[in-house]
Amino acid sequence: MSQPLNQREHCPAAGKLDEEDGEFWLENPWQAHDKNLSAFERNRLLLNVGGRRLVDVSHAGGADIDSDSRGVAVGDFNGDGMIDLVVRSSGGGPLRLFLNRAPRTHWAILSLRGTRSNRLGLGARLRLEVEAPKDSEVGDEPDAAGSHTFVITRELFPVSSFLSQLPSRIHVGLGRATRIARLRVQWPSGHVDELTNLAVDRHWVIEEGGDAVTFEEFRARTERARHKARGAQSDGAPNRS
Amino acid sequence: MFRMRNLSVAIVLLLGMSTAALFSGLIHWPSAPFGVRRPSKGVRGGGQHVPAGAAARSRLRSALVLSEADRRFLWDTEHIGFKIERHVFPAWKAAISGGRLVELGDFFAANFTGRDAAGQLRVAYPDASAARLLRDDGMKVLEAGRPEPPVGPPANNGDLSAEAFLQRLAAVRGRFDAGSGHCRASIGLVRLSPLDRDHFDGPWWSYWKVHMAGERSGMPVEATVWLHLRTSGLDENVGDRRKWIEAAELRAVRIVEGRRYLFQEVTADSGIDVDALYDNWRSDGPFDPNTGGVYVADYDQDGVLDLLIDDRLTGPRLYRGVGDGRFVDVTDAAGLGGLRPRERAQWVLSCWADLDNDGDVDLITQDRLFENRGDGTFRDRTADTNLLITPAAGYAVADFDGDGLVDLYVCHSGPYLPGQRAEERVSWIDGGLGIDNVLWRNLGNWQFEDVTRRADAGAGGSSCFTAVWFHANRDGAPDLLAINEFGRNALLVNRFPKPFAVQAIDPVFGGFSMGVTTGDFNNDGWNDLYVANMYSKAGNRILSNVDPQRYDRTLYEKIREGTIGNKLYLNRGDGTFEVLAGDAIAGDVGWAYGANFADFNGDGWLDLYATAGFKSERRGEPDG
Repeated sequence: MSQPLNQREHCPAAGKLDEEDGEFWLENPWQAHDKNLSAFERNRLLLNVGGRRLVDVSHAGGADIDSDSRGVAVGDFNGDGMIDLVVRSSGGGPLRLFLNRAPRTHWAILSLRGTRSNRLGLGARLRLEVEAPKDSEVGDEPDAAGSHTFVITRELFPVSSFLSQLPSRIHVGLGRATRIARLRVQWPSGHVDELTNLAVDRHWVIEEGGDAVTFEEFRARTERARHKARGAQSDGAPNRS
Repeated sequence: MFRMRNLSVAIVLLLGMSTAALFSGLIHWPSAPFGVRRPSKGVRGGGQHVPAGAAARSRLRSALVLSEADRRFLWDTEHIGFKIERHVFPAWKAAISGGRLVELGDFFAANFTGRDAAGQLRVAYPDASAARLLRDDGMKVLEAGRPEPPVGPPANNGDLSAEAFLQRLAAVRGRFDAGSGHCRASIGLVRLSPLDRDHFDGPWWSYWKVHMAGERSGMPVEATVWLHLRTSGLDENVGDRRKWIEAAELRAVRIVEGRRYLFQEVTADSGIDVDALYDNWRSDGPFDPNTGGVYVADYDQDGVLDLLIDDRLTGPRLYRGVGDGRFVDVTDAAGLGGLRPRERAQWVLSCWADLDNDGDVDLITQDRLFENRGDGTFRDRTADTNLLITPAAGYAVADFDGDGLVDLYVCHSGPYLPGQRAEERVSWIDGGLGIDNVLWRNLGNWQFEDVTRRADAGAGGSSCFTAVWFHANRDGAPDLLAINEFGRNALLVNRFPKPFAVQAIDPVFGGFSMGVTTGDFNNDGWNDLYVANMYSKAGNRILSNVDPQRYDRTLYEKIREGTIGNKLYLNRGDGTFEVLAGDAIAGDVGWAYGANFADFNGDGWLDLYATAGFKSERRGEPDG
């Protein structure tokens, strides 16, 4: 027999089985077969509605492929500030890449540089405060606490969900907000950095105990440091950035 | 062992969690959980002389076995369900897709009465809270009524004629352009039951989920309608019969309209050689449930995200992001070439982690560890590390002990060392392998210490594909959620150097979990969890036809948990979670695997992309 406590037993059909019509029955799931099993199921795009619901918008999402998908990872792959998708499947197109064509919003990418904490700041908590924009057309209402401040908290972990991994950076959508009024970084070391008035639509690099610089500036600094190190080192040891 | 792992997955799956299973799956559920087999072996025999353990097992078995009559009832009901899906739904799908709903009039009895119980459509999205940062992403969701499945037949005193009832459906169809090319309909049989289970020739009731996807003026439209039907007696010739719908209620309607598709596929222009990757649909080879993954990082620190794509055919390939959505294969130049999977080590798994703490990500792929040299190339450090890089199912990276070095949690779903033996997993429910996950503490200089036992972080010898680090509380130390394929998922609260506190986050059972991801879903400052589980439409339907009073209560609940699909765990901040499931979070994703949060529309709230689908063999054929 087969029941929840025994995977090994066999279970013949209990009644009529119209095999000519395609009806099939596996007496034990271990048996070899060429049947559809949860076949051609569409991947879903679920929209967060107010932090209480997920609504299925898969068709309008445009990425509702019916491949036998496994892993999914996200990130801005074309530099437009919107988050794109890459989907890995065991069948039906092994890898499929989707670019985000939603109306563009403001955004920020935040990378960390730990000094006492681990270098990439994994485990840090980032709290962003942005002013929710006023919208006269719809009569912008403050929230229950009477505030227009919109708070976004993100934890930096390179999440591996299933045969996939996210990058070690935070990418936040900021809608129509044009400044990050305040950014609080709680580092794994326990150190806390507070930064104010950061521009949106930038990739910021925040150093533990230091300030925030744009990624371009960070890169230039790194290059300068590397150059300097190269000049100082005559033994040809590999450089570390 | 890789194969074993996959089979173990397959099993569960098969076991009955499949979705459209009515077809075949139909009876997976009754069979698996409820089937009666070989009664001659004394399932109910018991007797005085059996050892205590055996007696207990025997009692439990009795509690797990439905009577032959109950089992036959479930089978026969599902058999008719199969016939409805096979021979009734195609006519409905064609009529709806083609916008010819009048053709369905033939299915309605002369004395039919219908009711529109859904009422007026209202705007569910964008709503005020969702739209504080963003008023308009081009997406609109309209809703009426509640789609939760009913528990009995609809009233038959509605005020709508068959024509008027069909006009309600036609109005929904009217949101798409005319012509079958603009709307594709599908129907799910959510519930099916005779009013009196001893009289199949008496009235029945059923619940249908009608889904339409298509366009209006080139813009995407999606509509779902939930129909609650009362019919005359049904048999396996239902496909040839007409005029059997006696009463109907339109319970709920949901309409999603977009001004454009949110995503556009660009695979062909991406520069990624996808044809080289293994694809079960193209291959004549054996079905392989897991063929490879995709791992995102900015390995060369140029600001542009790169992809490590591993695969059972090609081995790992490194694609450098160009910045415009295209990628260039730099595997060989980076020193990662020639790593085709070997016969004996054919697990395919990778992970980026800055193990030497120099600010760039190093790489574990297959059975190798590579140091990122910071100049775009990698150096094989496998010989320099004591890290055991063995077959595994997943990695999770964090500095769990706060010493400034990132550590590694390795998920296992099978034996991973030579000579290691798993316990025989017999039970579908709570069945463990006796093989723990492993927590490696980074000591620096590529040396690691296995602290699994000290930290009590093995997650109970379960079968685990995925784990995520996140902050379950405010103590600043990363905690861990490790999923369990066959039982309760484990929340490991980090108290290192004291042992982690192991907490179950599911009241009853996990749900045959496969993947998990984390993010602050409700913007309350706490990271929440989304767990990808099995979902079975057939399982739900069948369970609804089983009297819980006639079954072992705990197991019934566990089986039910295993059919309802994905779940969202809202972190209350005190180590407990509010669990959301079902329609509130569109939990019926399917046979689900990976999922990730991301704010796709840029409104400050994390949305979700979730994958599904196990084994697709032939389009249009019955599914199990």
